[in-house]
Amino acid sequence: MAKKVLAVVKLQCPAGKATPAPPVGPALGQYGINIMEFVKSYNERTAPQVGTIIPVEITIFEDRSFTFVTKTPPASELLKKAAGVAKGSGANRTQTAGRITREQLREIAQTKMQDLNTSDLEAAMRIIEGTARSMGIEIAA
Amino acid sequence: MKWAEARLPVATEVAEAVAAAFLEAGSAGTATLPGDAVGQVAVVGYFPVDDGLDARLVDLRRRLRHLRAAGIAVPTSSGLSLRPLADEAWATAWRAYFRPQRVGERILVVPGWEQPEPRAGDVVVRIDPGQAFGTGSHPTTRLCLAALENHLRAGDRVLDWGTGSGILAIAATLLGAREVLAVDVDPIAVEAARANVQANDVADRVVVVHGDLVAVPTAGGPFDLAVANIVAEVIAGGAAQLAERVRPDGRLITGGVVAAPRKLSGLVEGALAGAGFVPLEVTREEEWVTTVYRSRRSRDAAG
Repeated sequence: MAKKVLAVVKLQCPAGKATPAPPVGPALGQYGINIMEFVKSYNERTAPQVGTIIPVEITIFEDRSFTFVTKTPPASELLKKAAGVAKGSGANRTQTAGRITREQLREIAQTKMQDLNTSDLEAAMRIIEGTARSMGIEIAA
Repeated sequence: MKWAEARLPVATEVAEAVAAAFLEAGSAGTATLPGDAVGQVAVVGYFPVDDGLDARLVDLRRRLRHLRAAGIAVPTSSGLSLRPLADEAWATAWRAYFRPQRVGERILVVPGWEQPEPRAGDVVVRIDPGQAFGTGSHPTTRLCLAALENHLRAGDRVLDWGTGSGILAIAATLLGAREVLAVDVDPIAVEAARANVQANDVADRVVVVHGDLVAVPTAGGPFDLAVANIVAEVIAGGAAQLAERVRPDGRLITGGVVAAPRKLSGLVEGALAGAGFVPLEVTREEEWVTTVYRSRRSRDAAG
């Protein structure tokens, strides 16, 4: 069936533990897709990664049916893991939450390149580096 | 729990960095929704409305400033809008989009959870729309249902190729088919179709099989009627196999074909003509075309 796409929605939810509560319910409910069906399938597919956030891209068709693909963990998660911290610093930019090497930054940028819609590694690194700095994670020179 | 929705329109490439700021600030997950312009999306976060809300929003604005300071093109938080979310039963809110609908003369397609009020003689098809195609809301599904209503004869053996949610297979049974074989290459569809077959209490007459047309045995007698609501290329590619499975003078209903480009509908017509199918009736809704064919293999075989 050549189905017409109604919307593409990306969600970040906890792997294996999504519920109809926000963000799933309000984000998907407005497009009229079966929330429980999505929650069930998402949790089944991401069960092995419990404890991480797994982004998911949902394509919703005109007849309210849908398909979804799971994506790589968000850069912020990868950064925190690489720096070995639980949470980025929100207090101010001068407070350091952790530190990663340039090599780690490159690896994360490579992992994330496809999801960032770029084929330019330098551009991906700049975005990841910005994310890191905004979280108080320093890049070792 | 009350929720507030915070929304910030951003360029697609920075959406993830912005979503990360929302998450770090304490948003319960994030959503990236279609934006108002090309290359734009809206990052949406959900915050519980409690004593900590103001502090979280202050934290969010600070994180957005940090992103800007780090050279990421994030709009200022003046673009950030905040609105309370209506208290809804999230798990079932989507159901409002599925209403019972009448198709053809007497078919009533009903969401599984509704209690319909059928008129005398109505054929009630219950469908729980999962991820599979076929809720009766798409024109091609409606056209195929109407064609089934007009061309199916009581006691027919029916083949439903590309069954999706099973809607056509179930309708065929309720319209009087003796036996329906439903096939689909998509395991999600097979699962959904089986569940819907159970829900309609027709499991004794509908068999759902995972696979392509070749999975359908030619033995056991050819089918009186076949319905293929798929796409042009697939139907054209299966023309010869359909011909082997529809009995002489039997009927074939095709759907999922668009009128334009003409190349595609012509492809189906050409392939089916070559396989011995003669068009009897054409119906259209929007750009969708459903055609009922008759197999004239009897005459070929005889002469």
